Amino acid sequence: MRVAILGAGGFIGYAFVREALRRGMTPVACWGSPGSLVLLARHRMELRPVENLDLSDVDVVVNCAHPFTVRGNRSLEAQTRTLRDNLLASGRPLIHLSTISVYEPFTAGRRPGEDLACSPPASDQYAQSKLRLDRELQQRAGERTLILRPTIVYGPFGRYWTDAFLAAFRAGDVSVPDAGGRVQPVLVDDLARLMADACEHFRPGLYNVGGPEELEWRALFRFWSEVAGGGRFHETGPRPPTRPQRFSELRELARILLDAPPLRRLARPLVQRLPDSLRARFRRALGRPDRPLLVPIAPLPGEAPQVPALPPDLRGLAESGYFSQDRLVDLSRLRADFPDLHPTPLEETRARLGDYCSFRFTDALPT
Amino acid sequence: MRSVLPSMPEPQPTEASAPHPTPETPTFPRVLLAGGGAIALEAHLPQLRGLPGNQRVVLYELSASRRAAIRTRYRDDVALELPEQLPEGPFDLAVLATPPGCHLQEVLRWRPSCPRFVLEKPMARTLEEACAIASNLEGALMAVHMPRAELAAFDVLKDLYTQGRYGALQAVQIHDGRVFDWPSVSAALFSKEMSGGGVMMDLAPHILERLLHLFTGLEVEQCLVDGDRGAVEANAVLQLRGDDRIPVTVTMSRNRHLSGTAVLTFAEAEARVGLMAPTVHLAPRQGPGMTLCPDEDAGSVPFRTLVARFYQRRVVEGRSRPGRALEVMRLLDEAYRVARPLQGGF
Repeated sequence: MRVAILGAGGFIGYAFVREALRRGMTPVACWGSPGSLVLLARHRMELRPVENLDLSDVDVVVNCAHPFTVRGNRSLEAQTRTLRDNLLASGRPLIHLSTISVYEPFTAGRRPGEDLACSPPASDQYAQSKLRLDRELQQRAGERTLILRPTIVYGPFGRYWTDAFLAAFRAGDVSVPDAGGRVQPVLVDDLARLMADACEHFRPGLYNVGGPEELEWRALFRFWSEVAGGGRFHETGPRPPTRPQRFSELRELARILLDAPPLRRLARPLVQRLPDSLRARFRRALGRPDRPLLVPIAPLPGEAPQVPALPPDLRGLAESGYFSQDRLVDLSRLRADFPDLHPTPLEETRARLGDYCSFRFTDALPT
Repeated sequence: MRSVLPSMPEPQPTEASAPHPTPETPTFPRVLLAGGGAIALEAHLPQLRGLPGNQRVVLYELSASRRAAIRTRYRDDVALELPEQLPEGPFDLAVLATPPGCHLQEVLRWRPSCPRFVLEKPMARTLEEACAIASNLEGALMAVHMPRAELAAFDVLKDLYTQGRYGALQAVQIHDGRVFDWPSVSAALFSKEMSGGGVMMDLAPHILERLLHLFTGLEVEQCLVDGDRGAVEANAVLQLRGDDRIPVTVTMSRNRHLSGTAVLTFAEAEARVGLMAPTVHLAPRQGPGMTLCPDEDAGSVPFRTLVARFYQRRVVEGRSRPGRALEVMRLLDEAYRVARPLQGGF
């Protein structure tokens, strides 16, 4: 079976590639950025650039891609258009990876099902763009599209829900105000198995995808702390109520303008001249995380670790109260239609993630 | 093994060998920059403008879309030429910032019209190609861009080693690598046909150059790479022996956050240096540790500073060390010849 994978070099895409290879499928990896080839380069497979993509010779198309940043001169909108056009033009059964973020804002105790009418906040660009694409695919290719909406996905090479935690705990103690929110984390390998099953026995539809447990974030933080073998986890207590943000419309306007490549080019030399602290404040004011943190894994003697309490990826979430809120979804449809999917409990991943942590963040030779 | 390398004395360009006169302190009014990738624009181009007497940089890029992107970025720059057709010489310097697979053909193309060449590392895909480049550049200046050589920390390590102040050197361990984030504009770095290999071709030239600074002789003993299924490797482990007795292990990666350090274990001390850092941290078995700072900059040295030093020392002053670049290629060739699959990892 020939399976085209868009976003094959990303976290979930690469997990699916490995699962597909394990099952004897023939993956065709479609790439948008040469840098994303770093994981794929280890495997023998066909690579195709996403420009002028022809997918007429594959059996199934799996989409794990989503544009997060401006690449080259291509805006997010332009990249999204290319992605949508490629998916619609393929004419093949399509497995499309969406997100539970489309159900934002979540309400404590409520578990949205797949049929809920979604209306994420206008300021949540990620959820908005995901939902737009979901709807377009359902309307124009619904009979051949399976949409999966996973919850928190963790596992090897996961930048947000794995590497950011490991990096933070390897650098020292981590503290957040309140980590009482509950989630249903799912291991990336389980999601990849589900996607591979769906390739082999395709049926269109829409499914929430989550792990077997409802866990509080504080349990996850402690788990990552133990896996990383570094700092400890602290909760500093609930945050005081936040003031409504001033000038929110102006901030939104600045965000939109700064996504336009010509303005980005104009602004870059000016922003680069700002002191680091001012630049960080500017980015935070626009709701942009700071640049990905390069964690000094083995600080040289006499050098203090230059790592804040949380890496920027997590700091923004902590400051917004993300870890204090429940983000639970209804998984009954998934469990009914995929009874053989037995997702892995968090605790059973400890040894594997410990090995991964050693591989990814230490000088130890892989064994 | 070393005898196969052509002898590469420091070139002394003469009226006869150079296309046009080369004064005592050279000037570079017209410079060719071949290749419009990230390394060309971010590292080389700013330095070329600062070369003595530079008036014009001719950027030669084959890809029309890349040319368009560069033209947009530098549209107000009157000193940058971006021709659609193959430009004509003479040039005072040619910088080959193309994939290694193109270096030989670019050397053949530009040698008649240029007396000085800077090649982006690695020098070529194979030793054979490197030797062909060297022989074609006989009488010309040839510098391979390995800017870590401009840090002085390894001078201290060499001093510690040769003087034996902390006893005999027992082992060297180097870990170099990070999750790949270079803003590549093409897939050449991941194509064995274009780059000659993977992470080892990318990172090892820097490391081997530094080890050749430390040791008089260096030989490959074992090489493990994980791109054994016909693709390009993301991880590599290279085991060498320095001066016939000192074991050296070099670990390189494109998908791991390695520490970026060299650790030298002496009988009575451990010396540790960041591969991009100017200082050496010395921890004697007895007595307090100390930080040695041989570099003119005590803080971290920005990449662009190293590139500027490279151009000043290797190009303007002519201390280009082509023999060392060839020796690096010999070691890389030998490493790929004995390479075996690296097991484990993710």
